[in-house]
Amino acid sequence: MPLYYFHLVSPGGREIDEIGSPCLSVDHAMVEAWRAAVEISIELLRGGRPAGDRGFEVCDELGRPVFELAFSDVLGVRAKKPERTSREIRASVAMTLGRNQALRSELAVALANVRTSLATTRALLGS
Amino acid sequence: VTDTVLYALHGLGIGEAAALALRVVTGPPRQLRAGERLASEGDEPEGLHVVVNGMLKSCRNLDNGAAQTLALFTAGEMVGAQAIALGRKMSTLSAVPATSVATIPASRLKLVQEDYPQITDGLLRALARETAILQEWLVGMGRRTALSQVAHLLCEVTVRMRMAGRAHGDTCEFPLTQAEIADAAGLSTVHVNRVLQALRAEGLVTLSRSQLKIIDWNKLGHVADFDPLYLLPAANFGDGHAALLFPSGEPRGAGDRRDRQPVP
Repeated sequence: MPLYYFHLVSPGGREIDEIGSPCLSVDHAMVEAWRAAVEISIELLRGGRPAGDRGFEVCDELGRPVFELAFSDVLGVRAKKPERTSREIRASVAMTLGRNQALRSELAVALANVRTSLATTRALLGS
Repeated sequence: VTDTVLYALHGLGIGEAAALALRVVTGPPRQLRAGERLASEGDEPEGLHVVVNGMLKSCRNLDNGAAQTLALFTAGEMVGAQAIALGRKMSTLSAVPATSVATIPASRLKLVQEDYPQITDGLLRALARETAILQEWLVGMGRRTALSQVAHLLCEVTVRMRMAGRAHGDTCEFPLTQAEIADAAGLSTVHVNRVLQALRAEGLVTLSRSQLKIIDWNKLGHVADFDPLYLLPAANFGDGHAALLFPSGEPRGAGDRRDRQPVP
């Protein structure tokens, strides 16, 4: 059975697999990588450590890369819009309030203009 | 052959006469190829099997193709008491490497038992030891890390080999492949591979060409949380077995378990 080498990549570096594991085919190697990723992730998460930033780089006996597997794919972690900070929320509220204030001012001006027009119209009708 | 079978029978703690009587009715050893089945789940019990050379594994094969190894039996150990008690094999027995096995047929065992009733107590002790080993495996699968679990298995196999005189110092034959360790530990092959490399990188063991060498018993015992007392039959307590088992110092990883409390 051919050997496949499952190098573990993490933010701390690359842990080389010097032993290798026998697998029938690339598909078999992918299944084994997936199972190991689940198990290693569970252990990391139990220990309060992140797992989604790791992955396997799998090579064949000649050292040729065969496939990569990110643990985030196994865990179903998806990129997510970051939460807004309280400062950003305050800035957004202040901006909305300012826009409302400006609209009110514009409305007041428009209302005054309408009143002026009405008064002018009444004066013309009365004369 | 004689030595190994008699060693196994003496391990039952049934006395010289009963051991010799069982030895007389033991069949000649038969050779099994690596991976060859000795018995299948559901079979009627053939008798008590003594591993003369090599290693047997007891395994449950699932419908989905997965296998779970339930027990290992090294040279000088017996298997079959459970099947005799229950009237059927509860798991499949097969050879790990090429293995030779001698069998005491169930019918003859029964006849000898009539003259030596202490054999029943001996079989009970053998079953209790199997249960104790199974308990340790269960704890490992349920609560230990993969590193600790595999370290525990390496400690256990070495001690069992040493008890049967099959180890040289801290080195012994270790015929299990990565996949077989994985089946015993309930882990993936790749995870076992990483754990073995970690143990090697820490300078605790070397494992090559089916030879296991424990480099640092104390550290390995600590990583494994290993306390070898569960491997000693009650009949052998206090006869200096511990000194025989650990020529380079007993592992102190387990400490005194009586003082331990669960952490809420």
